Amino acid sequence: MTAGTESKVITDAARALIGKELEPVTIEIDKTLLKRFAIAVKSPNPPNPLYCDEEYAAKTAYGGIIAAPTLSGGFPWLGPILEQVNPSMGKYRVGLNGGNEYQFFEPIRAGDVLTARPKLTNLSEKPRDDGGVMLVLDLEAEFRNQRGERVLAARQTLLRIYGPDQLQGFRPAGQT
Amino acid sequence: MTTQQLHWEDVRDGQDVPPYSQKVGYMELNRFAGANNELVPIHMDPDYAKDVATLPDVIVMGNLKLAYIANALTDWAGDGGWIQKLYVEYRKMDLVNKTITAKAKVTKKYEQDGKHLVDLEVWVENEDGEVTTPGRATLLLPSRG
Repeated sequence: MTAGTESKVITDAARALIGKELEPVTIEIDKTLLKRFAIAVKSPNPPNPLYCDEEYAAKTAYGGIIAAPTLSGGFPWLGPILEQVNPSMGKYRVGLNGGNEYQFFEPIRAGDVLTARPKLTNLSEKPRDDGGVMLVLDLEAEFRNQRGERVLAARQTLLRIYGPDQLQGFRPAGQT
Repeated sequence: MTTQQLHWEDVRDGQDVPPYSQKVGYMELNRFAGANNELVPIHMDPDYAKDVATLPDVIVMGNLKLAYIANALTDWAGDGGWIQKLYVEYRKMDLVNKTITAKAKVTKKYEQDGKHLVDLEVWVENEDGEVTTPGRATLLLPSRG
């Protein structure tokens, strides 16, 4: 490894996960979730009835309530990846959401069972002025419903800030 | 609230979408955290946010900012509109008890594979008018044909 590109926090164990398809994650969608989410995104304003009022939604082209567009932000697909990344990546000061990209193909409805095989697509790190490091994790998943229809594609960037104190005791990639 | 249906023919290049604005207090943060199963201390606990995470205060979760952008788009587009793509970067933090505003502007109006589409620049602004969360979206709209 050449100077300047040396990893401070990225370990061989974490790097080995890049591109690997993990065990599928299953998400069951129920009516309560759809309604609660619809209220939360608009609160304290009235919610959009397409996402929570069954009588109203029945008269639309959808024929029933559908998920508000960004319900996918709460799908628990990052956990299985992070559980595998975390043991070797130590303790960090704070984790932040770096960005999202969603492509929405089909509406999500109550009773749907979605399945995804999440993937870690990249790991990179940048030095910080305080001597710490910012780690950037890129992840992606494609969700299909119980009929095999592609419902949505998600990309997620997560940021982790490591302070100088947290860099002690790391055994980064390429060093034994 | 139900909105009138927007048609592709009604949209013009450079058009501003009506903004969605909200002061985000602990009520909004906690309600969203519960609904989104996003119970993270930096979004609910000021002591933790300041002392442990070394942030200036509790910060608004990116997912709520994303949802406000979606609100601006769906309020404008009506039930017959469909967000096909939504991309955002959380570049700057937004702190609790401040008003944030989700905005969008049409950058391109076009037809592709028989679909009537609109590309937009989307973003969240803080009270000082700074863009904290830039992004872009593609919206599918019905046509009067």
